Parts: sequence; structure tokens; C-alpha cells
Amino acid sequence: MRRILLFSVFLLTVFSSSAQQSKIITGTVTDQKTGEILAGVSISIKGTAKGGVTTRAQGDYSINVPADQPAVLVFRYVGYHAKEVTVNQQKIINVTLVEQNNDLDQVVVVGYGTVAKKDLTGSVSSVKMSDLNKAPVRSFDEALAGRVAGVQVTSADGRPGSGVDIVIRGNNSVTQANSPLYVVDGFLIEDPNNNVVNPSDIESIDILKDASATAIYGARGANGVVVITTKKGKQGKPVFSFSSNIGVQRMAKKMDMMSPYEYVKYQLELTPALTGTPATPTQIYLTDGKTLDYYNGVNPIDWQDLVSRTALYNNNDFAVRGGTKKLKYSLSTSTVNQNGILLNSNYQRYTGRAVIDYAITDKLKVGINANYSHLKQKGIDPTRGENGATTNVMTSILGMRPVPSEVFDLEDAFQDPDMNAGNDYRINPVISLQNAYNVTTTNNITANGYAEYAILKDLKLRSSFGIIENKAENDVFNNTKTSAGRPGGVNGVNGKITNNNYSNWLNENTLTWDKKISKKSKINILGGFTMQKRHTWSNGRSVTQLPNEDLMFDGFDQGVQQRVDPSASDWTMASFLGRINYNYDSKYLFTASYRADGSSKFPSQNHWGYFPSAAIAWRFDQENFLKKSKVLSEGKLRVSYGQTGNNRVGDFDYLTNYFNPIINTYTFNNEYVPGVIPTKLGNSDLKWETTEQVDAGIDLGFLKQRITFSADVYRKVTKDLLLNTQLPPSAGFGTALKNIGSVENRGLELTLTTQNIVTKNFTWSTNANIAFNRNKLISLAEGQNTLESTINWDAAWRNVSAYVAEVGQPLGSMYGYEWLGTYKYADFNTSVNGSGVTIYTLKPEVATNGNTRATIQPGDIKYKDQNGDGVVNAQDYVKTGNGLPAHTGGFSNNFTYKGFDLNIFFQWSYGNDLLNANKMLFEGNSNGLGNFNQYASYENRWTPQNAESEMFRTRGFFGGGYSSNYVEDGSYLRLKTVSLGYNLDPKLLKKVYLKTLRFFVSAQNLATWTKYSGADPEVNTYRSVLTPGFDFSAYPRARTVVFGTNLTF
Amino acid sequence: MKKIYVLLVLVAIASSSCKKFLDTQPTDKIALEQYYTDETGLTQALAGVYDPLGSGNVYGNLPNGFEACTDEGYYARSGQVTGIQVFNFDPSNTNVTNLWTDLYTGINRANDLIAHIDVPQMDEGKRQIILGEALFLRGYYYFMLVTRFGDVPLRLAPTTSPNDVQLARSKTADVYAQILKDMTTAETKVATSTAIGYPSRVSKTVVQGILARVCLQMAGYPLNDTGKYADALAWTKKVISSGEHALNTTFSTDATFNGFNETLPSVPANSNNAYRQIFINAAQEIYNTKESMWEIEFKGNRADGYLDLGPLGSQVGITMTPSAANSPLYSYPGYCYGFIKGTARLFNKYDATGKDLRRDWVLTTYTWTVNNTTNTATKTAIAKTVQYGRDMAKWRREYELLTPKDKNQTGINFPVLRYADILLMFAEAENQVNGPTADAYNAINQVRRRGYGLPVAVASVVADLTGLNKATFQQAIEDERMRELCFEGLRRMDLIRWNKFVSTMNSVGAEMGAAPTTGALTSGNQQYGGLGGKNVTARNLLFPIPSLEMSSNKLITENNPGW
Repeated sequence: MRRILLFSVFLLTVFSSSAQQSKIITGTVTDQKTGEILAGVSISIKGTAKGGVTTRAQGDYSINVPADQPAVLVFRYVGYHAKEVTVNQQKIINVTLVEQNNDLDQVVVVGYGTVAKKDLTGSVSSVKMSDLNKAPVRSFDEALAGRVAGVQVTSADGRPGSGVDIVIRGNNSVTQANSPLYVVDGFLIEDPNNNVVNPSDIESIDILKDASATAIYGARGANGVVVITTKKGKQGKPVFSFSSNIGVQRMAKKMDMMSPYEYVKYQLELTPALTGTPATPTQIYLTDGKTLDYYNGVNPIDWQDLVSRTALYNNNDFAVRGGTKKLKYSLSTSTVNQNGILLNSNYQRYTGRAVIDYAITDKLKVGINANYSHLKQKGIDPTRGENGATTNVMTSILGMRPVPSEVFDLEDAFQDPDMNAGNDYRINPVISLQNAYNVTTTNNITANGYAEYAILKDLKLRSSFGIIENKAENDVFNNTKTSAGRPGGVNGVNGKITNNNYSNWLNENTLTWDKKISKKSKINILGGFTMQKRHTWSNGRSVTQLPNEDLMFDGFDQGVQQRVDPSASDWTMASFLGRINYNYDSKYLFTASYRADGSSKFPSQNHWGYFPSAAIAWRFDQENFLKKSKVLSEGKLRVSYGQTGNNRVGDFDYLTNYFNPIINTYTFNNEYVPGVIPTKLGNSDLKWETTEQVDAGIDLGFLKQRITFSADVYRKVTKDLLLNTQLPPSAGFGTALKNIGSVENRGLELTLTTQNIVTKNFTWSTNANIAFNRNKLISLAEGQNTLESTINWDAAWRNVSAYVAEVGQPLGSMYGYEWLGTYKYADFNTSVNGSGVTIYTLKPEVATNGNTRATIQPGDIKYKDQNGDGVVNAQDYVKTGNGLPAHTGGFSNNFTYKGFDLNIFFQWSYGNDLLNANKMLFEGNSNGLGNFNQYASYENRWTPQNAESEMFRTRGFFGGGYSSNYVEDGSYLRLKTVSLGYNLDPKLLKKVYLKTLRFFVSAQNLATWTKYSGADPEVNTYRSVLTPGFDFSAYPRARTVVFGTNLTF
Repeated sequence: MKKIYVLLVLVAIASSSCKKFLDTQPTDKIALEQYYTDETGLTQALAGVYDPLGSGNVYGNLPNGFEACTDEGYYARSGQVTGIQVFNFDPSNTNVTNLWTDLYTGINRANDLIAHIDVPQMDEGKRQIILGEALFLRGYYYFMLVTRFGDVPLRLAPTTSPNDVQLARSKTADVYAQILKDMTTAETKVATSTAIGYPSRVSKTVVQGILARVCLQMAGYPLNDTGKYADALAWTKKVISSGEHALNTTFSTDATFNGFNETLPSVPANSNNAYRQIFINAAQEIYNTKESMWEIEFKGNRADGYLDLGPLGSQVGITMTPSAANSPLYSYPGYCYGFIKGTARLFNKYDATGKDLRRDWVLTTYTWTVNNTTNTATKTAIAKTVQYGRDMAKWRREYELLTPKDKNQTGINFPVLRYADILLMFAEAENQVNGPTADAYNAINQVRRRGYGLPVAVASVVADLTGLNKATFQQAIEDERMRELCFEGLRRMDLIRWNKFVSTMNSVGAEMGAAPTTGALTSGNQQYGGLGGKNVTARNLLFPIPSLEMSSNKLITENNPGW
């Protein structure tokens, strides 16, 4: 009925309008700036659906408009601002359209200045903040993955506040940090806590990638630079903006564990004995005449459900920005409250920022940007146990038996009483999580003030001074219901307070000469001097045997005080920097920069390092033969070369350090004497790590930048690596820093943005990027060909090599046996013993798996004997996987339809492998633990009835090395962010004194496509260059959905 | 323009003050001079030199690792089919690497201390004592290295730069020469046992005793420098004539020290004796430097935050493994993995009737039966016929006094040099130099009489040896060392210097491999205990140079024979 009604109204409108009188308007449409005629401009009459026309080839048009009432013509053209003209009495209306501020006019923040994107000579990528801010995340780095080509972002796991690694153009350094330098509002920070910056305060994030862009940061530029600029006040009435969202997070993927039936079946296979100490499965499960089949009808205890929850996420921002011509201000505050999806974990943040810019005179400007953040992270880190895999909470969650006991209440028991607690430290994960107290509180003040003085018209002096005060306190309390504080443990109830603090100041003074030399050439010269100092200190308190656990930290005076070693250290840096930008006719662009960095981290003869760079760019679209092109709107070739450095070493690593560590105590006459020992060997030749980078890039734009494309190829060679080199153990030290070895990274980055559809009501734009990086270790220390790494996730595995870096290969490859499935019956000779039992003896020509030959049985795990000596051992280790992806990228789509906007963002990683250590415990029980549940996938294990299975039998595991059985393809494609918003009509809002009002729903981690069998392929629980993609006991990743409002008035 | 000049001047001033700005000084104490300030500082540096001895890779891993498999005992886990415990490992083995690393760490610390001995302001006499101990320890670390790895790099100066660390191996004989040089110098400097008063610092007689041990080692395989028997004899004589040491002959008569299920019916109800009292004292942190001359000192239960504990009693001892994590049994009798069991060969070396009281101490006569429900542990007698599968029981946690007890480790000191060893070394050297003289008989028989619970100074028909020739006396010494010193970390070295390591290990491996699986002679199937012995070949006379050293020290080009 309603449709018919609508249809009638429509007909009526058509009829009535056609009945009206009309007049003809003609005219020409041109570009306001260039005067070019514009063909194909669409012209419509506002408020009607009919009568639209487009301009012809000569830019002219004619259109019928109703004569009896004032009409409004709307002119629309791709890449130009729409224009409305009211028709009064005139018959000819000539219109000029203004080109939209497209990305070419965008200003990019580079080191110590800004530059128009079109004049860039280096490789700098800007993050599209409007897209990034649609992701419901607490910190910008959580949403950065896939946004920018060449910026690889990996987070450790799903724990709120978990570490995020950002690597720009591959890993340069082998044993030292590879994280980029951050420049937040001009303040240089090497290891910021990115949580201190509220993402909605961020105006822009620019990522400097090639040496031409980063060399101005000299000794700290080699890993790339992330330049973050926060919002400033704008001239005008105060604009109040308020944004709030609230939503829920749920575990994205639960692991499929064995059912009660399968579990009991497995237990009986594992321990067939009828009786024993502790009680055998037969004694536990087959009492009172129960049979295995009984467990088909038993309801399982789902521990994953018991420890997880639908967790609240809430974020509120409030800001007011505005100003006069002289005084501009921006004040903002925010709160975040994010519950973790595991019980008793939480992240809270409160921030406040004030930015004030004041022009005292025409020549003198001053300003300050100050931020305070209070962060509170609560909950234990499941990836870290106490020297045994069974102490990690995820091991308890997945491994606790799913079968309720009839003797005791398993869900309330502190430990499964039937478990062998002698070598199995699992405790009830619900109790463990609920009682864990681990809170880190961080207070961060960052303030940066400046004064800018125009000495001459072209010459500007800028001086700034900034400070960061960061105080982090970690409080841990282990009561009687925690693993570390349980009765019977030697520490009893215990607690620890650790303070880690730093304060950092930076003074920068720059002089900029910006001169138009002639009509066609411009020059910009920058010179500067900076000084920076950082002081770090830590201290704390540790107490055991606390008699009153109810008092918690207040009872600390009652316990046994443990030794805590405080520490303090400083580094300083002084730098001279200079840069010349030369621009001839906007066609030929030239940049050269130079920085001299003096760092206290090196011995005095090596204090200073020098970092030059140069780049040229040719904007061939400005050449006469292309200037008129209708197709090509941008064309630029760029080439750059430069040297940058890395100084990520300890403050006094060049000195041999002495100390009396508590672990090096020796006892004389029953009294502890802390041994004074050299703890670290110094190196009086220590200096910078240097990266040389060549980059060539092309930027293309088509159809008035409706399509833009950028490609960069680069080669980086890092030499004089600050390598924590293995020394001969006979030297008395394990490792020492040496400038030795070399690493190469080569890559290709492609970025494409398109505006696919631009109509009055509907737009669709796409942004895609992909980056390929090939990493290669060129050399290590003299004569050293490989560097093996172990991972201490379990005491049994801490000395077994898990990763290898081999000269000529990428860093961080998985290392171990090549897995061949299982031994089959055909591998054995058979005989029958006196009791009539068939005995299987491995054929002499078949290699062992490291176990004693006589012990190996059909169904046991089988590895490849690479050297053919009949025995599998460490000599048979091969590279079993590659921790680095072949390519990573992102794909973002923005749709608007009338008031609706929709953003869909995909992100992927392809070609990297993961080392799934969870599978070692839960698909075959490598530690042979009793009462330990397994993945449902282990039901397919080898049995005499399932003799073709490649999954080893119960107790068929033999270790001695990791194997390719646990290396999995970690490629994934993730629907990372979906955000749907609706903007209310501004006209309506005006009536209620609002400027904008948007309602939205956003979701994060909605879907993931991967072959990885574990819970989440975006995992890196032992983050280091040498050990990428290790998965053990990761905090489950959440799927987040929030509803919210953006409001300005 | 003037303003620019002003700026340039400012920049110039800034750059000249840069040097000062960049020359930061540590705010923590990190320089040697900040620690080597006085006697206390130098003593702490000396503790740093001693520290590797107590590490979990050196004496902390001796009884259950490097010395786990001899003709005295075997690693009591049938699943252990690889590793040093069963002589199935390669040069990348972590235990071997860590042993090598820790010994050289000790050497570097000793070199550092020796090089900077004059830094602190202190009493000169005390400085010389510390210097003597550092020299001795450097020698002792090299002794541990040369007996296990053969030719090794001889580093005599502290490492100060990572750029000059490559060093070739020195010949075994040259290493020994340096050991003798360091130890003989040390012998003139260190304090006497009486002056020190406790067994964890090295005294003059300890240096003399260890010199005797070094000389005996040199006299045997592989150097076969038989002239060193005379030197060994001289050093042991110095110890004996010092009057500072004697066999322990006292013991508590308190009923709490009573034995359980002793073999010999005639042993009185109070079956404690002087031999077992040595090890009970160790568990109770009671020093007796007369007998136990040098000990690796362990202490604590981790509750105080220190980690200076050892493996005796918890890793090796009588198995006691309750399954509940918070069981009170952790505090009494105390958790014990029982990683080492004795061989039947060891059991049968003792007097079959049990008159040699040492047997029922070093091999357990009972097992702990644990009830996980009531949290009780009771002693269950082992049948007296059982020769196979008795836990090594020389150190027992039930005598520890400090509670709560740590699950994995104890404060029980490791005895490196006992006076009984001095007497046996004397007897061996005397026999080699002068034949089985009365002095030689007297020395060995004192040890035997104490083992039989008899007065050491009174001749005994039951315990005394008589009527042996040089060869049979040597054999008697070899057996007596096993009976007296078993599990004290000496057997492997002894068998090697007597040049019978491979044959002995192979034969004991075969014996264990053919052990009865059931019946009165055994507690369960112990045949796996033969695995290690069977795996021994000539290459096991030395450990391999660790692959970590080979790959980072290019001047070592060849590994030990067979590796």
C-alpha cells in the first residue's frame, strides 16, 4: 500500500513539474585557476530528479529550469568542489569550479619541517587518519597494520596493551632493536609507549621510509621514522567535539578440545595400568562399573568458556578547539576502559592534552603542547610462565580435564587432585586468573614548548624545549590461590613492586631560510643544533613469606625483604643538522641533508657519526609535452641515496661492567658473599650501525588524481652491525657487542588509490597497498655462518634450537627436523616372543627418530635422517620454515551513500610460517602429562586401527628438536575493520545547535581466512628479529563490535 | 646579518661544550675500581671466582650429570636415552657447553682478580691469601678442564676486548705445568685450615691435597709421567704431617640417627657410625674440616632470594616424590628425584655380610612409600638380597634442618677433598714408589677400619688388608676408593688415569644390561642401567670441545679424537 502511495506522489510530481513553464540557461564551465574549459561537468537542478545535463566538449551547456520559481543549479565534477548557483533573472551563467584539495596539495610532515606532497623527493607515506580512526582500538599502532606499504606491524597477542612491533622496510639489525624512531610533535623517542597518545588527538601520521627522508634523523633514522603530529587549534569559534563508543569484545576463536569420551579414551591409552600412584585413569574414571561408553553422555566442562567473557569496551573523547588570529587552542581529554576477554584483565587510560599557539607579534610566535596520560594495565601475561609450560595459564585453560569428578568439585578445586603435581604445575585457571594481581600503572607527562622568530622575511629561527617524565609502577601480589604464592612453595605469599622511570629532555634550535631566488627557482635551507638527555632509573621492593595476605601491599613490612637491585643510567646526544631543498620550476627537485650526531653511548673517539643523504625528483607532468595531458595529472620520478644509523645499545655498553648479582653469590662460613664479577664485556671500539639505502620511486596520478599510483624499489645494506656477538666461551664472556656483520633488505612497495564511483549520492573509493621485502643476512662475526636461537617456553625445550639465522638466508627461520609422519608397520621386522606377543623391531636400514632403536614402535613420530647416519640428532636439523612474510598489505574501501558512510578494511600477510608450540602440548602431549586434555584433532592419531595416520600414536612422541610438524603456514587475510556510520542532515542539526552528528557501528577482527590451525595467525609471543612467529600460550584475540556517536557543536 | 653571526657564535659555543655533555659517567657502580676498594671488596671478587664451582653446570651437575654413569651408579630414568648421563651426545650438548663455559668464566674472573690484586688498599698479608686462593682456583679450573677436555686454550690474562679473543689449544702437558705452577705458588700464600676454620675456602693443606691429586693424574693416563708419583707422595705426606686433619671417628648416639633395615644383624640398634655421620653433618650444615677438608658450600632454601643451592639429597638421594604440590612431605622428608641408582657391582664390592657399614649408607636400605591422600611418607624395607636398583643414598634430605625445604635443591655441601682420600692417595703413591709398605697398609687400613665401624688406630683382623703385592695392592686401592669415595665425583678421573675407563664401563654396561628383571636380586627391571656403559667408546675418554667454542674460536681447528 505504501509503495503505491509513494508511486502516486512521484507521478504527481512529474506531472506537475512538466506542467510548469520553463526557461533555458546556457553557459560555460571552466577551471578557476587555469581557465581550462571543463567538459563532462554534471549539472542538475537542486531538489528535482530530472533535467540534469552535462557540459559538452567545449565546456558549454544548456539546461531547462522552471521559470516561475527560483531554482538552484548544482555543478559537479570529479576532483572539483561542487558549486551551487541560484538562478535569478540571468540567462547565461558561466561558472568556474575550484579544484579540490587533492593529495598533491597535502602537506607532509618531514623532519624539522613540512613539504607539499608534490614537492617530496623522498619516500614518505601518510596514514589516512580518517580511515584509521574508524577502527575501535585504544592505540594507533593496533590499527596501523596494512595501512601503509612497507610498514609491517605485528602484535604479540590479543592481550590489552600487548606489545606491537612496527618494522619499516625489513629488519636491519640482528640482535638490537628494529623499531622505528618516533617523532611525536617534534620530540624524538626511541621506545615510546604508544598508549600515551590518544588516537583521536592525532592529526597526521607520516612514515619516513627512505634514507633521503630519514637521514635528517641521523644515528637514529635507520629503522625508519614515524612522525606523529597532534591536532592544533584553528581560527574560528570554538568547536566542541564529543565522541563516545561502547561495545563488546568476544574471543574470536575457541580451540576445539576433546570431548569427555575422547578424553577418557586417550587417558586410558596413555596410562593403561590398572592401579598406580597417583591414581591411574582406570581408578579415576572406570569406578563403580562405569565403562568408557559412559562418557558419551557426560557434559563437558568448557574451561575456555569459564575463563573468558564478553568484555566491555568503552571510549570517550572530548575536545574543544578554536582560536583567534593570534591565539589558537586545542584542549582534549579522553578515557578508555577496556576489559580483557580473559577474567580479571583490563586496560584503562585517561589522557588530557592542551595545545596553545600564540602569535605575540607578527614576528614572534610561541606555543606549547602538553599531554598527560595515566595508564593502568591489569592482568597476567599468559605467554610468560615460571620456567615450565604447565605454569602458563593457557596450558591450564586448554589442558584441564573436561570431565567433572564425582568425588570433588573440579571447578572449585585449586588443583586437579588426580594430577601429578610433582611435575605438573597447572592450577585451576579460573581461580588463578581471579586471584592474579598484576597491575602496571604508568604516568606520562610530555610537554614541548617552542618559540619561533622571523629574523628576516625569509629567515626563521625556531627553538623548542620539551620534556617527558614517565613513571611506571608494576605491582604484583601472589596470594595463596596463585601458582607463585601457594602454600608449600618456598616463597609463601609474596609481592613485588617495581618502578621503572625515565625522564628525557630535548632542546632543538633550527634556522630556516626559505627564499624564492628567481621566478622559477626556490630554495629552502635548514640548519640546526639539538641536544637531548635521558635519565632512566628503576627500583623496587620484593617481599616473601607475608603472614597476612588480606593486607596485600600494606602488609609488606611483615614479610621477608628480598634484595632488589636499583639501577640508574643516562645517555646524552648532541646533533648538528642541515638540509637544502631546491626546486626549479616545480619540475626538478633536489634535496640534500646531513646530520652529525654525537652520542654518549659510544667511547669518546667514536662519539660522532655523520649521515649524509641526497635525492632528486623530476616532475615530468610539468614538462610541456605532458602538461596538457587530460589523462596524466601527476608524474614524478624520485631517486635517493643516504646513510643512516642505529645506536640502540645500552648506555655504557662500551665499558666492561662490574656488579655483584645475587645469583653469583658464594657462601663462606655459612654467610652469603655476593660475588663481584664482570657482568658484561665492554668494547672500546664500539660505534654506530650504518645503513645505506638506495630508493627509486615513481608517483603517478591519472584523471585529475582520480587514480593515483606509487611504486618504490629500494635496497638497504646495513653494515657494522651492532651485533651481540657470540664470543668463544673460553673468553669468559658469552656475548659482547661488536660492529660486525651485514644485512640486506630489498623490496618493492606499491600503493594504489582510486575513486571508483563519484556521483551525487554515492561514492566509492579504494586504497590498496602491497609490499614485498626480501631480507638476507650477508655476514656475521668472523667465520660464523649461523646464529641459532632457543626459546624458553618450557624447561625441556629451553636449550633446543628453534630458529636459525644463516648467512645468505633471511633472519629468523624455523629450525629443526624435517617431519615424515609416523613409522608404519612396513618399517619393522616382526617376531613373536615366548608369550606369543608380536615384537616389532625397526629394520636396520630405517633411521631412528633419536630414541633408542629397540624402543621405537609403529605409530611413533618419524623424522628425516638428513645425513644418512641412521640416527636422527641435532646434525639433522634443517631450516623448516620462514618467519618473514613474502608480502604484506592492506585493502581499504570507503563507500558513502547520502548520509551513510561505510569503511571496509582488509589486511593480510602472506608467506610467513608460524612455529606452533601449543600443538606440541595439545596435539600429542610432548611432555607426556597425565590428566591433560588434547585438541580434538588428536583423535585422528595413529592406532592399529588407524595405521595410515601420520599423526603419532599416544606416547609416540620423541623430541630432541623442533620439527616441521609444528611449522605451519601463517598467511592470513583478515577483515580487520568494518565501520558503518550515518551522518544526520546538518540542516536538521542546526535547529538543535549541533554541527555534525554521526552514529556508527564499528567492528574489529570480524573474520580471518587462514590455514593456520591455532587460535590466531597474528601472533608473536617471543618478539625478536631472530624468533618471529612463535606461538605459545598467547592471550586469545578478541572480536570487537562497538556502537558510538560523534558529535560536534 | 649581524644576527646570523650571533647565531653562528652560539653554535660554536654549543659545539665546544658538546664534548663535556657527551662524556657521561655511569651513575651506577659499574667500574672495577668501584668494587675493588678494600678487603671486603676483594673478598667479594674472590667469591666471584669461587662462584662457578657451585654453579648448576659444574658441581651442581656432577653427581646427576657428568658423573651419573660410572661403574658405581647409573642414571635412574629408563627414558633417558640421550645426554651425558648415558654417553650419547654430541659436541653441541648443553651440559658439556655449560661446563666448559662456567670453568672458563671462573678462569677469567681469577685472571681479573690476579691482574688487579693491588687495586684495593688493604692488609698485605690478607691480600696475599686472596691472591693465593685465586691462583689455586685458576689452577683447579684448568685441572677440571684438562681432565675432561684434554688440550685446552690456556688463558692467563683477563679478557678486556671482544676483538682479541681467539686462542689455540695448549698441549695437555703445558696445561698441567701451568696448574702445578699456580698451585705451588698458591701453597705458599693461602692460610691454614685451622686459621680459616671452615671448609669452603681453600687452605694450605687443601692445596697440598689437590696437588697430590693432580700429580697422581699426571702419573697416569694419558701423560703417564710416573715420576709424579713421588711428588704426589710428598704432597700427601705434607698434609698428613700437618696435623690439621684426621678421619672423623665420632658420631651421634641419638636415636634419631638410627639406621633402618641394616643388613648386619649384629649392628646395634643405634646403627649410626662415623662414616655416615660425615654426610649427616653435611646435611645439617655442621663443618668438620678435619675430615672434610674442602667443600663446595651450598646454602639456603631459596626463601631468602639467594640461589646458592646444590643437588645433593634432592636430585640424588632416596626417591621421595609426592604428587600433591602443597604436600607437607616437601618439608619432611623432602622431595627427592632419586636420579642415581647404584650398580650391583658397587653393592658387591662391599663385604657381603654387611660388616662394611658403608654399603648400607651409600645404597639405600629402604624406599619411601608416599600416601598422597593422608600426605604421609613411611619407610619400606628393601629386601636384603636386592643388588640391583638401590638408590644412591649418601646424602639424605631427612636430616636437613632448614625448613621449608626447596623442592629441587638443598644446602648440602659437596665434599671435594676428604682426609680419607688423602690417606688413599698416600697409600697409592707410596705403593707406586716404594711398594706396599707398612705405611701404605696403615693408610688404607685406617680408612677400612672406619668403614667397618672399628677404631682406626687398632689393627683389625676383619677390616685390615695384608699380604698384597704391588699390583694387588693397587687393585685393593682402586676398590677401596670406590667403596669410600663413591659418588663424590672422582671415579671417572680415576678409571681414566688407571687406563681402564672404556673396558670397565663396557663391562659394567654388559652386567647391567643382563640384570635379572625380576626376582630376589632386583627391584624391578634395571637393565636400562647398562645403556650408558654400553655406549662408552674410546672417544669418551674426553668430552668434545663444545661446538659453540669451535664455531667462535677459529684457532681451534680440530676436536678431540672421535668427536
